[in-house]
Amino acid sequence: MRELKHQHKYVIFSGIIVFIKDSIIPLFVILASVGKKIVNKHGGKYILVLLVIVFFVLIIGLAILKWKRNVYSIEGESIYIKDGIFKTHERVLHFSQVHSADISSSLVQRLFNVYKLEIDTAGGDDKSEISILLPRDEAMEIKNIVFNKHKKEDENKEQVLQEESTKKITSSLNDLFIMATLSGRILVGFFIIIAFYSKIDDVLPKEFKRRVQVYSEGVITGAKGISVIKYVVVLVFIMIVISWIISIIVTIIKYYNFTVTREEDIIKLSYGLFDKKEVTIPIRRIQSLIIIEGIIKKPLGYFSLNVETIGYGKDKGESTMICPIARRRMLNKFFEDILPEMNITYDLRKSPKKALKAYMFFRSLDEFVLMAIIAVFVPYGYYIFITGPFLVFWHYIKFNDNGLYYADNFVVMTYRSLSKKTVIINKECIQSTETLQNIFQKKKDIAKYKVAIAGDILGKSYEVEYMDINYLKDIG
Amino acid sequence: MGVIMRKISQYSQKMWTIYGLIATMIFLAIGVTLNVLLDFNAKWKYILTCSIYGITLIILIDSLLMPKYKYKKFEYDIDEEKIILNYGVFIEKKVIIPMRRVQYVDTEQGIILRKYKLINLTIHTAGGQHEIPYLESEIGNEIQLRIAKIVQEKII
Repeated sequence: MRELKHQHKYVIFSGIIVFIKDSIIPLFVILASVGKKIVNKHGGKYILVLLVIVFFVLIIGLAILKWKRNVYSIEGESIYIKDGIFKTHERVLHFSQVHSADISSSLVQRLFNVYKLEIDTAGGDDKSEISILLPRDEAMEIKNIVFNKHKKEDENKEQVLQEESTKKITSSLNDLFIMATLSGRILVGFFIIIAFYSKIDDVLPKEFKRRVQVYSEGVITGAKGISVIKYVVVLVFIMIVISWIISIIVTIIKYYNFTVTREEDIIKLSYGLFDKKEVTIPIRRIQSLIIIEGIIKKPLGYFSLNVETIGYGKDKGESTMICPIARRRMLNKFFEDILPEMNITYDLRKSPKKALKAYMFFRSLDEFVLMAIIAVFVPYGYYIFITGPFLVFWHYIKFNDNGLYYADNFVVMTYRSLSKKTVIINKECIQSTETLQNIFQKKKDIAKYKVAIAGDILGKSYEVEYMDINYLKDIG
Repeated sequence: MGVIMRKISQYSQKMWTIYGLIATMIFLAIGVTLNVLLDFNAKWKYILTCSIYGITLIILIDSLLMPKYKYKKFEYDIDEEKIILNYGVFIEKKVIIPMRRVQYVDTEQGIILRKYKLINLTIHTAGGQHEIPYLESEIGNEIQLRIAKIVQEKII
């Protein structure tokens, strides 16, 4: 017989909260419509209060019932879960099907020492297949069982590995500062301010508002235009500083103590200040690794790393940031310690020089047409042509960043959109390859190369343009 | 490649023309409706109507002149290891799908296609889907079964 276990009692608590959250609006609607109809002499307000009490009792009862009916058990090689009050739902999941098991907990949950265990399989289902709340020790235990059971055959190998395993890389606080400064998060801060700006109107005292209005009107109507410019500049500057600070705080809360650990054949990520997140990525699920060198980050010697995995997390294919920011010299360490599988030397094939002219022409064509339109229709629009040389130069840089390498196990592609990306794709994971050639390119033996890997519904693909067709033919 | 690629059905030209003409009719209907209903007092209304007529014209030309070249360029080949597709008139595309990656194959036949005994075949991978249009029914069904068989063997 199965040894059935319940989840942590915290579920009752969170269940009540969720019930209330879901039903508060209908409850008010009912109360508002029914409440008026009850004539006062029939009890009036007492009935109303009674209704509310009944409602809460019902909710608490349901929550407890839900907790009681929701059981799980681990037997041998699989995990069994059963839930549902009116309609019972059972599920058995074999450990060999498990792709990932994540443990996370929010601030409130940690007060109760509760951790959420989410177990995922490859299926394209939106939610995690199994999601249960447990005390910390139990959650860890189950996670270990899930990941160790189906590897028992090579236990001997494990022991050898264990001595040299647990290699990790941690991002320092300093790195996070830089990341916050350079990332687009600053814009997020900006939007937060704007969103709050409309709310401020309701909060501020009237007297203060009036004085501000008088002051700003004084500035705007003030005869000197310079003071207006000064006013705007100072305002923008203050906003930038505030959003910078917000972005730093947000980043640090989210990515505090970002640690990447390699253990045998899984990579573990853990980060977060309040919301501790722990993510597990099995190595065999990794489809591709992307090294991103941002346009500002690169001169400072920083880059970030993403991996693209199959069946991990919520989507069918997902991109996970495996290293939000790191210094250049960490890259070698990363490849040696964390992902030796992808530590390959490669000799990139660049776009052939003969393609440069065509590349420049096609790339610049639509931009110049656009510029011409602007020049014609917008007053003083012809100044836009000043950007022309910069664009041409930019395309030249992009052209030089195109590269492709092809080995037995990996395809390496480099290209630049805004930041330079180096993509290392596991050849096992390639879903299809495509070469595209327009009639002009055909004359010059040049083509675009496209590789598709598993992604969400539309799939995910990488492409490099203007490569030599002869090299592509070797690829097949 | 040196391999003789297989062709899709001769009737495909006719199909492209028919579907092109249907699209033309739809766009023409939209254009005419706009033309009748809008009173032309603003610039964008002219631009909108003209561009829809323009699209109609392009589709018409495409459906009358292009099918011949489309047919000429469309080639495919299937072997134990991979599926190869070649197509595209102005932009030539060459797609290679490793057989191991094929998840399933769909066939589809509408009213018009049934009349000409043709079938559309769609190959699904985790990274997207690829279509081989207008195959003769028997060939299409045979290919579907064959791919299914190969895929099954690969998995075992």
